[in-house]
Order: sequence, then C-alpha cells, then structure tokens
Amino acid sequence: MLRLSNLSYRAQRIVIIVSFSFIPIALLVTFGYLPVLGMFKYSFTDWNGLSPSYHWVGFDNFKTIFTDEKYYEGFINSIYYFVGSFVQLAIALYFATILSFAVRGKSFFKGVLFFPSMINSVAVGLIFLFFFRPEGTLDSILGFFGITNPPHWLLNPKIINISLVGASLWRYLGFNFILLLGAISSVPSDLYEAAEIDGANRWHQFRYIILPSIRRIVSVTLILSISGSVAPFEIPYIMTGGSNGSNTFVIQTVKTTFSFNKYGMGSAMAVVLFLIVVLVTVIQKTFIKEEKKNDRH
Amino acid sequence: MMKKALSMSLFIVLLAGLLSGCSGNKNNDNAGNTASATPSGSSSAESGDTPESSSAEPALSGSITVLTQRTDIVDILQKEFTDEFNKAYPDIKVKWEAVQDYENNIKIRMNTEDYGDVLLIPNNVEPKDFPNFFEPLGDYEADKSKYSQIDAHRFEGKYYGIPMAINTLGIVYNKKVFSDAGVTSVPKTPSEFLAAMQKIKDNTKAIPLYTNYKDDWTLSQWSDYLQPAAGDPDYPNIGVLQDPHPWAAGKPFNDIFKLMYDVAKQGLIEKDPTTTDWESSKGMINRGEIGTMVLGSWAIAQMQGAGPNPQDIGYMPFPTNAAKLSAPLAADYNWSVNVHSKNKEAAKAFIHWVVDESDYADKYQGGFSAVMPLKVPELLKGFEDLGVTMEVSTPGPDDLNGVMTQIDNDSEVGIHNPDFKKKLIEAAIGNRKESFEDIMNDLDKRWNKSWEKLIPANYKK
Amino acid sequence: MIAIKSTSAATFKYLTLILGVFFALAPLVVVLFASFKTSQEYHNTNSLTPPADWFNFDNYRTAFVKGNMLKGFKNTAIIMLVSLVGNMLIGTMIAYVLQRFTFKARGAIMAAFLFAALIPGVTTQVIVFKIVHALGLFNTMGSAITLYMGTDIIGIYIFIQFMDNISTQLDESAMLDGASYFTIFSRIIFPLLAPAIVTMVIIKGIGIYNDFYIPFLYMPDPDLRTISTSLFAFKGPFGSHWETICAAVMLIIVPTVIAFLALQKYIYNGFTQGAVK
Repeated sequence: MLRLSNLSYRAQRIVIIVSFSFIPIALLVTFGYLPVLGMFKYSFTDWNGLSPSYHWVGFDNFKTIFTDEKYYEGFINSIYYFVGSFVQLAIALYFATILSFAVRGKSFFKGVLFFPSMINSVAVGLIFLFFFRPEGTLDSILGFFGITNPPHWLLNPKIINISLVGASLWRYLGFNFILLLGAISSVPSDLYEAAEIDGANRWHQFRYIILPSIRRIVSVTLILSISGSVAPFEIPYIMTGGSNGSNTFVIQTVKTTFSFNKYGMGSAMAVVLFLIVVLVTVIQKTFIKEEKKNDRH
Repeated sequence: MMKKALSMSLFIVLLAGLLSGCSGNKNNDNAGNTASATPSGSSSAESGDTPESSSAEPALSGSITVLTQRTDIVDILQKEFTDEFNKAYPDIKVKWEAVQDYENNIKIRMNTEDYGDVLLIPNNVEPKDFPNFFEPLGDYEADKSKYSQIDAHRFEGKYYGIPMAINTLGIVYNKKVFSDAGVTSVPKTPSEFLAAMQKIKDNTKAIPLYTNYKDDWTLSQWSDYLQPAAGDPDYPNIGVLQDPHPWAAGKPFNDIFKLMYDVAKQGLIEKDPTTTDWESSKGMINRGEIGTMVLGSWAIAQMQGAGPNPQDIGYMPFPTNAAKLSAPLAADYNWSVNVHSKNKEAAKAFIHWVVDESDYADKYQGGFSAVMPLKVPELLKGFEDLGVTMEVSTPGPDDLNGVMTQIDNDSEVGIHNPDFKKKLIEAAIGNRKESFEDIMNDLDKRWNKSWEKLIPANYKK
Repeated sequence: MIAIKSTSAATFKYLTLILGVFFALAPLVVVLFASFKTSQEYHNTNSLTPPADWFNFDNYRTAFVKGNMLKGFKNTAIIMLVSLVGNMLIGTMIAYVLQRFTFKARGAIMAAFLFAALIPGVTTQVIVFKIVHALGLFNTMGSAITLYMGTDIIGIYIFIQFMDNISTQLDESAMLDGASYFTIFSRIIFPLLAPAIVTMVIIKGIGIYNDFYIPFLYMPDPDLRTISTSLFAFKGPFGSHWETICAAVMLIIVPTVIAFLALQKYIYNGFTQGAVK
C-alpha cells in the first residue's frame, strides 16, 4: 500500500512517466519512425520495390527531382490547396462557434455538417463525377438560380484545381468542424457568463475567449491542413489521377513508385516531401509561438 | 543518445514479443500459411500441425491460398468454382483472398514470403526476378506448343506463368449507328476511320468515339494495339526493339496515337472527357448513343448485355496503314505459384485444372483458354469474316526477354500507363500548349536514351 | 435597435446554416437516387432522374446479403471496440504525462508525435507491412487493431486542451488525501476528459470504420472482412454495380449517424457543465 510522502511522489512521477509513455512511444517508433529510416535508406538506392538486390546511387535520385520538371511541377498546384486550407478552417471555426451557442435544431445541423466526412470514400469519386459533369448536380443547382452556361468544372484546366479543392473542402470540413466543436466545449462556461455580464457580444466572446482558449487546437489543425496542402492526395487521385493539370507531388510519387517500379526514386520524393513539410511546420510553429506565450504552470 | 536508442530498440523487441504472443492463438485456424513466414518463436511450433502436402499419397492434398484481383466475385470463386475443383481434387482445400488495387498491393505483400500459394504475376516485374518470387511451371521449349503466350514470363529456359485468359483486340462498335450515319463498309485505315467518325458526327446524334478518358485503363490499353498498327506479328516483341526510334512519325506507336489525337482534335469524342463514366458507357453504346469504343474482345458480351439491343453490337479491327489486318491474341494476367509455397504440387495442380479443365477464362474473364490450339469463340466469327488474321505475337529471342519492360521503366515512357495518352487528348482539345509532335518527340527522346543504355549490343547497328 | 440587430444576426446565422446544410447534402442526391434504381434503370437514366420506384429496396437487400455485411459489421465492431479503447487509453495517458509533468524529453516527445503526422505514408507502406508481418500480425485482427491504436498528434492536443482547463488544484487536493498519480489520472482526469474522448472517438472511429486499405492489405482472409471491404464485392475490374454500392454506402452510414447523434451531446454539454473548474 502506498502511503504517499513527497519522496514517493517523486518515485511515482518516474514510474508514471515511463509506464504511461511506453506503449504510445513504442507504437510511434515501430510504425512511424522505423519505416522512415527505411525510407531514407531506400532514397539513396535504385531499388525497384521487389528485387532482393539494389544498388546505392548516392544523391542521384535527389538531383533528378530538382532538375526534372515532371517531378517538381506538382508543387505548383499546392497553392490552391494552401488557400483552400484557410478557407476550410475559417468555415469550420464559424460553424463550430455558432453551434456552441443556443441554436434551434443544433443536433440536426451538427449531424448534417459532419455528414460528408462520414461517407465512405469509395462513393466519393462517384459523387463528384456526377457533381461536376456537364448538366450534373452542380450545373442543375446553378440552373435553378438562373445561371446558365456554367464552365466545365474538370475540363477547363484553369478551373480544375479550384473544383478539386472545393471537393476536398466538402470532404474534410466536417472533421475540422467536429474537432473545433470539441475544443470549444473545453472552454469553461463561467468565462462566457462573466463576459455576458460585461456586455461582450458574440464576436468579442469569440475573439477574446474562444479563440485564445483553443488556439492550441487551431494551430495544430492549421499545421496539419497546411502540410496537407503541400501533399494533397485523395481527392485529386480519385477524381483525375493528376491529369489535365491537376497533378500533385504525392500523386507523382505514387506513380513513380508503383507504376514504374522506382521505389528508390519514390522514397527520395517522399524524403523531399517530408523535409519540406517539416520545414513549413517549424516556420509556422515559431510564428504561432511568438504570437502568444502562455504558461500553464 | 546511445542510451536512448538502446531503450527504444528494447521497446520494440518487448512490443514484438508481447504482440506476437497475443496473436498466436488467432493464427491457428489460418491453415498455417501465416505461420510459414513468421520468424518469431511462437509460430515455429505452429507449423508443425500445418497440413503439409504429402508426396507419399497418390492424390494431392493440402490447403492452398489463391489470390485474385476480383474483389467482386471472390465469393463465387470460393463457393461454386471451388466446388467444381474439389470434384477433381477433393483433398485440396482452397481459400481465395481478394486483393484490392492488385498491382500496387501485391508488390507490397511480395516483400514478405506471404503472398498466397497461387497468385497473378503483376505487371512490370523483370524476368530476372521471376525465380525469386515464382516457382517454375515447366520447361519453356517443352510446353510452348501446349500453352499460348507463356513466352512472356520465361527466364533461362523455364516459364513462370500461364495466362488466365486470351483475348483479341479491336474496336467495339454499334452497327445501327454506322448504318444510320451512312457508313456502309467497315473502315480499315485511319483516314477511312476518321471519315466514318465524321459521318457519325454529321448524320447522327451519337458520340463517334467514346474515350472513357477518366478511367485510366481504357486509354492505357491503346498501346496494346501495336500489332494491328504494324500489321505484323513479329513487331511487338522483336521489331519494336530493333528500332532505336519506335515513336517517330510513321512508326506503329506513332500511328496509334496519331489516331487518338486526331479523333480528339477533330471533335469526334465526348464533349467532356474528364467526366466520363465507364458504367454508363456500356448502356450508351448499346442504345446507339456511342459509335465506337476501343476495347478488347472481352467487352463485347458486356456491351451486348447492357441494354435492349445486343444485336447492334459489333466488333471490327483497329484501323491500320499496313496491308495486313493482324489482331493479336493477347494474354490477361498469368497464374503463377509462390516460390515460398509449402504446397507447390497442389498449387500447380490447381493452376492446371483452372487452365486445362475449367471455364474460368470464358466465364469470369470474358476470354478463352490459353490451351493450344486456341478455340476462338463464336462471338468473334464476324470479326474474322472482316478479313482479320488473329495471331499470337511472335516471341522475342532470349536476349530481348524483358528488355521492353526495362526500357519502359527506365525511360518512364509508361507504355501501359495513362499519362501520355491523357496528355495527348488534353493537347488535342486545346488544354495544353504542346503539339502532337512535341509529346511524341519527348517520348522518343526518352525511349531512345534508355534504349541505347539497355539494348544488347548486337541490336545496335 | 439592439433587437433589430440581433434579429438580423440570427437571420444571418440560420441562413448560413441552411446554406451549409444544402451544400453538405446536395452532392449526395445522386447516391440516394442510385440506391433505389434497378441496374437497367441506372444504366439508362440520368443520374439526377429520381428513381422510378422509391420503395425498390432490392439493392439494399443485395448489398446486405451478397456483401456479407453482417459479418463485416461484426468484425468491424470488434476491431473498433478494441482499437478505440486502446487508442483512448493510450492517448489520454500520454497526454496526461505531457500536460501534468515537466521533464527533459517532454518537448522531444511532443515533436516526435507532431512530425509523425507529417510522414508521407506512400513509400513507407512496404516497410510497415514487413514490420507487421514480422510481428506475426499479418492476417489477424491484431494487425488492424495495432495500426489503428497508435495515437496521433490531434488526439494528444485535444486531450491536453481539455486538461489545460482542469485545474491542478483538483490534483493537489487529491494528493493531500493521499491519492497516487494513477488514482488522480483514473478517478479525476480521465472522467473529466469525456467530451474530448467523445470527440476523438467520433473522429478516429469514422476513420477506422470507413478504412478499407488496412483491412485489405493486412487481413485479406475472407473471414476477417470488414464493413468497408464489403463494398468491393460490387466493384471489379470490368465494372461496378454502382446502384448496389450506393445502397451499401447508405446502409453503412446508418450506424455512423446513430452513433454520432448519441455521442455528440457529450461534446457540447461541455459548454454548460459545471464540473470543470
């Protein structure tokens, strides 16, 4: 039986830190970082993904990535997804905030806004095929509002990326929304009450209470969606396979790795992507940290 | 730092022990094929009670796992098809496993020893790797008159795969659309074909040629029409490799894709290729809303069954500038045996039963069996009557074996990938700045560079 | 004046909500329509044409029976239960350690979890597969459970977010009563994390529920099929029965919606709860 003095709390501290971190870190290392080591290793080889043998090729793969346009052109389209990630966060934040206050039919709205994220991705390709095709769902909606002669959403190379970002937004908004909703519910209610007495309006409550309280979640969402915008994959892969000017770096990586059996090259591309994303994250983190430093203990 | 790394690796080892201990009992009913490749201690004990194939008995027995790309019919294969098999081999237990996105995922699994007992050879595996992964099925010279197309997966005198089905290549068309448009005879050359498509556009409401651009494979397979374009069965495995510039103007590859480019350029394809739908296209051609689609002969029955007008669906040769109408007899995926299989004899017996005895090729793959002499189905009678010679592409010599794949991988031309075909269509409809020549020159340049690197010296002039 | 302002604000609020609802649901109309169409009807009508018979449940029946959905639901339920319980325990434990204690490796662990979320999974798949195989988990539910169990940065952050608002005075007064750290975690912290846990159960759960990649690759044994892989019974290289797939998708989403509606009240109840001080 533990009769606890200060000293045994110190011992407990160690026990609890080690035992509580053991499994999470073991899983993280085994399935997260061990494979990354392999990825770095193969990036210096010409391995084809199958053969027992391969050759070391030094930095050849990396040189190719930065000299062959085919490999780096995918990054240009990231700009669309980058902008899209801010739009997505803003909309998610808006809905999460208003649905945290009294709204009639709250559960209904929450459920419906989250609905697109619940759909199995097998159906997503079909949904947007019919959504974007001429005289499809979108054109019919626009026609209802008197907009005739809409553009070809996927055929027009100037619009295709915007269409795909829109589809991604539809798909992933719900996750951001629920996450932020959860985060907002952590804000102690007495804070609102106090603010209400002080006559703060909803915007002030959002700006000075909610946002600062959940900035940690907002920042991690931002990090993940911005790093995600460097490597958009699911929606463009399903919808276009990267054709018609919608290619992304990750789609190119998949093609290189599996269609051409260039596993070494694909690994090198993944390494480049990883380093870029890490760099973006580090830059972003320093910005957010400087904005507000808050000590909890 | 050192200490940290050490404790990390300790974590992993501990975790490994923990988890494999947990999973041990779950493994038991898996017929031992999971255990076979597991290095951890707990499983070596298990392999003892695995039903091994016993060579002592006259009748083959044991259990095998068969991998299939058909996620849609795996249950039928497991029940009805396997029941048939078990009439012949009652003691071989067959378990089917469907692999989704077969090409990518099978390669991941092949990095362990655990990839079933019977599987399909994925594309782009180089011949030198065959012995590492697959069990030889026999001597190539001895069996080359027994099975069609086994040359494609041979290495050092052995062969490693037998095609699950054979098909021929041509164009599916709607006869009624043709007659309504005033096209009286089947076009045989590219210019005749383009003229016929133009007539369809002018005289009917049908889409002359539906590319199915969105579904990548529908464009990828245009490359398979190398033999029709050349009019020569020696070309796909030999001629094309002897040529340092096979993508240059006037060469068969160039002819194929010139036709693809021209139909798109002249507005003879669907209005919005980016939102095509393969399922709907079947009904559309049946109803006469589509004139033609470039597809293998397996598609005929599907198009006939997709609507009320099966009699309107016809099959015609791919247009060519060559004198001879030559259609290849092309192989589907190849059955093979895992080199690490513990039941190789049962696995081989299964493959031979499927190819030699069963109706698999016809019933499930829409083609015909690879057993020689090939039995061309009734459905293709009309196709032959058009003056088409259906013939197998001549196998290349040993020193050219697999060179095509090597050059293709190295140059990233992607003969069987959708990329450059999509680019061609995008260029033709004005979405890209490059011209037809730009794209083909780029392919030829890359091909030539890899060709110079990889072709055996005696083929360089 | 104030009244007018607040009415127009309310109008705006409901207008945006309705707009949001419209855009969330509109693309799904085609799925709903297709699920009631016969195969011939699907091939021969426009995707926006309503089905001829709104009571044609044949596709639903086919999807349920031919897709072997009952077995799929069962396997998915087992996998989800084990991996979600594991995931939540693991996630709250590590978050507790990271939020309540300051120690040397704290920042490093935090960073390790963050960067792990940024690893592009495309080319590591081969190595992950080898590891899973070497652990003897291939073709067992253990493979999926283990892969889903690993916690991620989002989970850790949301748990920490909530712990930030759980006053350390609670811990201290418990310590005065002689409670161990473990008791503090299990009796005080963990129960107060309910809204965060529910949020993560929803997010993680939906990811697991709809994932077909891991089940197909790591447990191809037909006896281990999950609800998500059952969709592929209608999707093959030669053609897809989209009308059946659409019905299956509708069936698959039903439990999700029910679970969501049952769980979501725990999230926003956080707003009015008094316990967190």
